Amino acid sequence: MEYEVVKTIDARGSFCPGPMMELVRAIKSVDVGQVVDLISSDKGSELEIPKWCEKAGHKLLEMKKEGEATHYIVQKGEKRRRKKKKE
Amino acid sequence: MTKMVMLVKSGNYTDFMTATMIASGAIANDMEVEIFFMNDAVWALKKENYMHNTTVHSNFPEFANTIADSLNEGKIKPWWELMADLKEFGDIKLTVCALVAELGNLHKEDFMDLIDDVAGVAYFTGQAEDADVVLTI
Repeated sequence: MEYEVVKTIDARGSFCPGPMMELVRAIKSVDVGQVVDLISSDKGSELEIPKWCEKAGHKLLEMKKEGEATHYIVQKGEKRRRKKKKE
Repeated sequence: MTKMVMLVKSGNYTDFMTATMIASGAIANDMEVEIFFMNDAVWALKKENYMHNTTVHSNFPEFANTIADSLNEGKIKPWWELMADLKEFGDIKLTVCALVAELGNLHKEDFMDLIDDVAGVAYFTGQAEDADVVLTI
């Protein structure tokens, strides 16, 4: 899979919600279509980040293990419009 | 944008930690968050108190020690640092109960800088009525 990472965040050693919030911060700072690499050793990220990407409309291009850590390669998507459940 | 409102009424460190953690998830999911503090929680937010209020009350000393060690070792941020981060990239508002503030002759400037407002309980119930999710911590 080919992509160009424009921002890498090394959140190894940081616990929940640190890696998630670092990813949110990074995604806000890049343009739609650009790719961010989050490196996290937090076990909670394994379920949290794929689910967040799905909900927030970003694309998780790849998850790569590197020792105790995982690289989450995320491509920023269009901002998803949330519908209010109640009128 | 969906909205989450939380009521925090205890001054225990773990309850502030819980509220902040849940707020971080809500902000990550692009929700608007408002937290209303009552009773002990108001006192815990006084400028001279919040940084010293790090004792974890637990039935399990090992849990309390684990949290204390994690804070001391910098593995986790104190709740007020995480809250400051959340305010940087999300829509989050912190309000303290006017009754407790008035009883203690406390004004907005007596609280930590992250506090946005002092308001009556009808303000909270109004916000709660308009919210999609309401939690009591």
